[in-house]
Amino acid sequence: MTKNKYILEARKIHKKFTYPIENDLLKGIDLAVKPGESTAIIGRSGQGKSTLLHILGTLEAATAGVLLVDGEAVNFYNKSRIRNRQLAFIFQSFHLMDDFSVLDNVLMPAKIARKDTQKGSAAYKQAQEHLEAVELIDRMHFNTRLLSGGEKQRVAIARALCNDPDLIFADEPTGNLDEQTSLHIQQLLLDCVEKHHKALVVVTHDTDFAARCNNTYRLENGGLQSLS
Amino acid sequence: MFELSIARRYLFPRWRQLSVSIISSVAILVIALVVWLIVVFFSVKDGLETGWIDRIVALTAPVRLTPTEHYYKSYYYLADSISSKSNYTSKTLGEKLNADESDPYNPDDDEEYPKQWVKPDLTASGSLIDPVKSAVAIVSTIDAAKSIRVNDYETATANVILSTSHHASINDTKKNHYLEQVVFIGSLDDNTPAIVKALIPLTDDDKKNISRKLILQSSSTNPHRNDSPTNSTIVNPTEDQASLSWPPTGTFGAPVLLPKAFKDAGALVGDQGYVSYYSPTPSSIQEQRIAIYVAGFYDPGIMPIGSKYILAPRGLVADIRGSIPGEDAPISNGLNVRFDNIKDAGKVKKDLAAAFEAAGIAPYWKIETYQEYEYTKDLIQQLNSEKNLFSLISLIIIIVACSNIISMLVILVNDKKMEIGILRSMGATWVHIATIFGVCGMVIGAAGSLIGIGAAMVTLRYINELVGMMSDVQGHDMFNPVFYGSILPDQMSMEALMMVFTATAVVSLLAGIVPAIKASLLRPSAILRAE
Repeated sequence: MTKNKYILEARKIHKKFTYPIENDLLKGIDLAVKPGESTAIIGRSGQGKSTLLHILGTLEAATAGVLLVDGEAVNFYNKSRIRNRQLAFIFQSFHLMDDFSVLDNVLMPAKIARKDTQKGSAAYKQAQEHLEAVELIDRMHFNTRLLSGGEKQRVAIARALCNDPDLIFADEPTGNLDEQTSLHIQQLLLDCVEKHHKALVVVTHDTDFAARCNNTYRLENGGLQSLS
Repeated sequence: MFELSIARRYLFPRWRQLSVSIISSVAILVIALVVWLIVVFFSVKDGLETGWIDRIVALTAPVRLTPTEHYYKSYYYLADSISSKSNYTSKTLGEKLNADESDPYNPDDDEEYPKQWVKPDLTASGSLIDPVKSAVAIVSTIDAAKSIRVNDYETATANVILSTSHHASINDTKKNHYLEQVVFIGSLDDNTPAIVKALIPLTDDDKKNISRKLILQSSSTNPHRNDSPTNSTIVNPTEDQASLSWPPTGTFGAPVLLPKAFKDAGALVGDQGYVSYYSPTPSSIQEQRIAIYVAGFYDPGIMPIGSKYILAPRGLVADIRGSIPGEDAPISNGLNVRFDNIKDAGKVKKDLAAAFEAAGIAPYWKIETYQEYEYTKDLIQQLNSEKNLFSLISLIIIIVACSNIISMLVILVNDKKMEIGILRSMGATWVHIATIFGVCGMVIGAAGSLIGIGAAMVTLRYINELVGMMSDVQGHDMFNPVFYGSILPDQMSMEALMMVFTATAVVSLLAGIVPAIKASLLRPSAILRAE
């Protein structure tokens, strides 16, 4: 449960690349995300959507600017903890760990948090519930390599919910899926917002999906433009 | 710990990552090979060194007390030479130890004590300090080593002449051969159980020689004489000789133990001869002879004077000592301090030095461990230098072997880049990532060490059979028995084991650090966006 009005506040975020050519990709981005709210960021390829998402998700450092997660300024020392306890990611390429089973993948954030993940533990039961919600409970012991794209993304959604995060980042989560599966995944993500009261920040090319979110922004020329 | 489960999955991957498995297997195999080689080498080397040192100590003692110049110039020593109670003769340490009185000098009966001689060292109560009895009493109180005990010893020099006429037939008396050698003769006391380790078993030739001597002696013995042999100790008797004793009483002289060099020169157990030394008389210097027979041979190992050091009863050494009066006697003496574990020698020396200081007898004694004896010092230093050199070489070999771990882990890190990014996105810290790859390095090192140690145990168990096979293949002894003995040591050296295991663990850990740091420094954002 968040303590602040905003689960995420980005103030004057700049990102400048100097190699291979000098490029001011993000020029003073301001963004605030409330709990239980979905935010979509759209834009043409190469505008810096994924870079912005990674900066907001503490995976990449901004050249300048301040990032607050639930009111706490992100720095070198706390970003891993914040990432583990309050944030979660869903990627276009799913990014599951191939050497492990579906259940192991879902439980991985809990294991990193040093939670008890033995059979019968709270984390284990929660993981089962999440897998049931994404209709993969019967495949929990499958190796993830054996799953289809849609199934993998559902495992990624279940994994994202594992540590009960406040904010989920999704980087083109339906980019590799067919239309029907894509709609299913979109619904699951929006359910996370509505049913679990999570905040969602999604980068997508799918304008229909973006339209279903509470807030929509277009990233263009290094700035965010609200479309809501 | 999730790091362990991930490390386990990385080290024992499924078939898809077979290349990683092969590389890690090769890394384990190379480490196992190196550990096997080092453990076997050091175990054999330590075993040989221990054997050599055992033999050196068998002839001497782990700690020796030798009288200093202060002792020989002291009133305590000199008083005997002017005392009627001592028959005007200086006493050996053994005699001093058994003397009724510490101070035999009687000013009323004996000549005047020379003024230039040093004054007596007295205790607080005014009695003469007895450095020999005090030293023996102090040694028995030292608890730095188990079963500590003390004996005096004497060493003299003389010439040994042995008849080595080993006739093909007892009737053939035409051929006579002699062995002659200047030797050191050490007194053998019954408190040197370690000498048993150095004794060489009787050969068939020895047994034949003993039988021959018995038959010769028997044929020359008048059955009606009173000194005919009794049937006490028999060495491998035949039925015909069962009534004979060895050695025949009063006919063979004093028994001596000779070093292996005599055996190599053709001497056998049972050979007879004499020791020869020169004794001054009022008009001339005369040769004196004492009859001896060879009671056995021992292996002095690599002791520098080993080929010239024979062991004889105390009485024989005393006879030589008595032949030349005063300080010119060709003799050295002292106290042998023996105990169970020679590794306690340093502690015993330290405690003795402190106790002697407290008792006021420190100036009388030079305390040496077996590592400091004049004739062993260089050898022990050489052994220590070799040990340090071989340890350094071993460490370098281990480092080279463990460098495989670096290669293997770098490949693994590159292979698992994406998973590193995924773990970082889920909140794994750089420490978590470094731990995963560090554990991989340690497991490879530990697995290699365990396999190598297991192989070394098997090798040591059958080392003499293996060496025998290889000797057969090349047609001559693989290792010269003069230096290495007839069989190689087969006990695993715990010291070597600990050294190798520790070195491998530390080097493996260090080898794991480099790729672990590389893995932890990967930027998750760059990895995740790479696909």
